[in-house]
Amino acid sequence: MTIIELNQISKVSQGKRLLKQISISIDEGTIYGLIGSDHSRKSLLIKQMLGLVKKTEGQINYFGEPFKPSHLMRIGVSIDRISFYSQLTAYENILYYLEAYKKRMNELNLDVTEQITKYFVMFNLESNLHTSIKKYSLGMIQKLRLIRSLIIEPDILILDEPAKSLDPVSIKILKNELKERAQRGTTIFIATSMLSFISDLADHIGVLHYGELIEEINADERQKDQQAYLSIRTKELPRLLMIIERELEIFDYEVISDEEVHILEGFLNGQRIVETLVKHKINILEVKSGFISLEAFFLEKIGD
Amino acid sequence: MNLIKYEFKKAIKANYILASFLAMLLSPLFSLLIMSLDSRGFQLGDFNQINLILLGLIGSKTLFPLLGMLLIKTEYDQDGLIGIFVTPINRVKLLISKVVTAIIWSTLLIVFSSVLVVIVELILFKDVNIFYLVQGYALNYLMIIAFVIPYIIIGMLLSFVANHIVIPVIFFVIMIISGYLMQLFSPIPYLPSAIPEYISEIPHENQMVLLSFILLYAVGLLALIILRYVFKYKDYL
Repeated sequence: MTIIELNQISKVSQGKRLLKQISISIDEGTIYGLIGSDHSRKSLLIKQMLGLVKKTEGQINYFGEPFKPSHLMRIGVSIDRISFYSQLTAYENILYYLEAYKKRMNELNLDVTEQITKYFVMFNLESNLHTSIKKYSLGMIQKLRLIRSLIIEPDILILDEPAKSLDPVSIKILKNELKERAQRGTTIFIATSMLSFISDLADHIGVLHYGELIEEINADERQKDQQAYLSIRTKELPRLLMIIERELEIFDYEVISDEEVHILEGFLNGQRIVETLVKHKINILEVKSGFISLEAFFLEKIGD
Repeated sequence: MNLIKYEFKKAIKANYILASFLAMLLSPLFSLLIMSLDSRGFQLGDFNQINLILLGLIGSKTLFPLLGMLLIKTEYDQDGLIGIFVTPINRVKLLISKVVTAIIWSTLLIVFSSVLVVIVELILFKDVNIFYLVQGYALNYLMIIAFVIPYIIIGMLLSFVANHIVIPVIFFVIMIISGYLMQLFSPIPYLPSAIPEYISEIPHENQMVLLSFILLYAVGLLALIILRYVFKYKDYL
């Protein structure tokens, strides 16, 4: 079942097209990763998804119906524009936030104190529960944003740069939590420029570039088909290239350095390639297979 | 109701409430200073009248609108509105809670000020009946409360649109000075700036006072409608 559906979303401001007919469908219990550079307008798209910015055209549906403010009752949000009242403690801030979710907390039979304790312990913030926000570091603030989004046990999570300012331990905790939630049926939308965070987390990945969704792939497809390569290191690179072009008719390769080449097209024929090179007495230093990182995939797609 | 409670909590924690009550102590101090400069000496009611003018003429365009502005500023300083707008809290309800908080806060300050006046006059004039004083002044202060409400809303609108409180404060200072000058050269009874003096000097049933209030509330209502619109449809591009 499709839980989040963006249909031809566009935003034009002062004659400039900021978002270009973006269409995304996200099924229940899946994680969608939207990757893009700093100027890709990921945050703008999220603001539109949350009704913070008026859209010029298109439609946003949640749970099969057009977005309305009451949907926010079932959506946990963490965006970097969310701040906290510095004069209040973390506990008071979360209590204030939960005022808006009393109905949901009652429906799900969630105890406020238990929930607060659970998530503050999860992110190792329990000793700072009653500390003023003024004394919170950037990483702690980010954890608090995440707690805020998770604590209402939402059906949808919309997270903008969730791993920003987090330490490696917290990133691991967050990843595990998101994976578990997705398995339990939560639909998760993550926008990030931290590709290492999303690469092994998302079921689907979209590449946003200057407001345009230029690529959308299934994470499994990316690993199986598009991203596999055979890496060969040799001191005789020019000869090797000549052989693979003339004899094997492989032209899809990438020279990484004076000694290394990544053969993309011939990955499935790795054994044949190596045999041919041995036959021509090419001195091979190293052969290994691998996948093009999400970073390389991303750079390729945006043409950098 | 809980939204109002949290508005007060935020204001208390930011020390705005304490500062505002301390600021209210300035009014009796100024009043005593002005009275001490008057050669005819203290007379019953003088203290109250000066206090009313200070509250109405200056306070109505400085301190009281500032209370509303601070409730908006608290959100702007910390991007609080975005944090709230991504929750299911109704934006209009939130706005109303802020307006109501500012009105309750102002009312408490004005009541506090009136209590100070009664206490000071009881100290200065020992043979005066407290019941007589309260009865005599109650209507004045009720009218001051009614008088400041539109200014609070105008202040909130200006600070919301301007994103800070400096421009609105400058606007109100210009309003005080221009109002004073206009009165000086050509007394216009329904000029809002003139109201406090009329409240304290002429019978309240005077039609000019009524007209002044109608005009003031019409502007206040318009400000509230605009504020509701911009609050509800604010775009965070």
